[in-house]
Amino acid sequence: MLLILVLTLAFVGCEELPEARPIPETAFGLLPIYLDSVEGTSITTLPPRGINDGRGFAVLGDTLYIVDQLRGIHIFDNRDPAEPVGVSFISIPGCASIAINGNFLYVNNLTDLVTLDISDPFNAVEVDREPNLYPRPLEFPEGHVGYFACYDPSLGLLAGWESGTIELPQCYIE
Amino acid sequence: MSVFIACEADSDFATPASNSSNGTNSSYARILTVGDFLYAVNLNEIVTFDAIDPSDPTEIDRQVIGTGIETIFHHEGILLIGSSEGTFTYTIEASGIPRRRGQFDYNTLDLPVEPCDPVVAAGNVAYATLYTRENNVGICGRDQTINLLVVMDITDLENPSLITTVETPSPRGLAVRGDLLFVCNEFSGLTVYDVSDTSRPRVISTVNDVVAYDVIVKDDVLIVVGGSELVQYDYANPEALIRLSTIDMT
Repeated sequence: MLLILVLTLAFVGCEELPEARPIPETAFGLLPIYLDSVEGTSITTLPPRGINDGRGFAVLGDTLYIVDQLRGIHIFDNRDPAEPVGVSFISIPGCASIAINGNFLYVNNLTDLVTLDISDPFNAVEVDREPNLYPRPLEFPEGHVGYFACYDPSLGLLAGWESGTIELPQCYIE
Repeated sequence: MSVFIACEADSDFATPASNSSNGTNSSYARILTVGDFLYAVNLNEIVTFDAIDPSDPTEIDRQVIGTGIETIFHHEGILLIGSSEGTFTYTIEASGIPRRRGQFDYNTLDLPVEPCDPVVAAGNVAYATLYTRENNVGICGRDQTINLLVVMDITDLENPSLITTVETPSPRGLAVRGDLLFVCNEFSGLTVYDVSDTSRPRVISTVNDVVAYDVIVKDDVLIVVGGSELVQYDYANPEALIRLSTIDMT
């Protein structure tokens, strides 16, 4: 059974079809991150929550803004660095980077750059959207070599890829 | 060291005047506010927005940089752009539009694969971390691994040059303050270097009990984020960081 994706040919530019690769029971590789919401452009402010995958962050004054990769921004009151206090979590599908100017937070929401008015950190308000600044995530992990879990559109919008253990991985890039 | 830059006889170096209050970004930033301007890098371009009305940024410029663009850092009117090809140097014109000055090409390091990197600077010295991911997973690298701190002289922005490279475990984000350089080593923790002699960064201390992906250094506190953790340190004694707080709510 040939389950290796032909994507290999189309995108990575291999010259010949790779040989059929046995499917292991589990493998380390990349898995699709599906958006919780079906509405990819829906930005909502929620109560503080745990950080899932903390990446880049920003500081303005005594406030921290932490990117939770592809999920959103955690806001912390850091007036006392010995005891930072969670303020809120802004759910932003596909979020990967932020910058701050005063009461405005600039962040990517999937392919768009959005401006949020965060003067009320419990209710971030979208005030501007610059569409299509970033490419849409491809339906395979570009540049990745090895196993990955195939993206299944019936499970939702694709936010990106994360590493982990895949059971019976059926996709592979040479 | 910043005085050196500020005194360069080149008006391009002036950071545009503004009454805006820009936040400080950690090194993995891909969006940046400088005065009333907003810069965003995507995979191959830098896009400039006029954000004099911060609620309504307007695109005023778009330039192709190269491929595999990853991070943008601002320092005294200079923009440093980290990519898998190298570090690109730009200056900000009075119009806010960036002007390409030069590039430090990682090809000159004779690396076996293309790395990922963020880059930061202090004075006329830039620091980049180059790494490839383990298990061939991720967007960077193939079969071989690179785990390097690269120190570059950016005095001549047209021709940044190599000062030295230092091996450091799985380097990620980094931050520099005075003679101290903080390098995140992800699951291996964090390393503090003395860079008073930039040609010979010296390890002052390491912290192992933290997942360190990116870092911001403030006057009195070092803020480290990684995985599910937010950890802050008092670094007054860089030989022995004192953990002030831990947020870990997995």
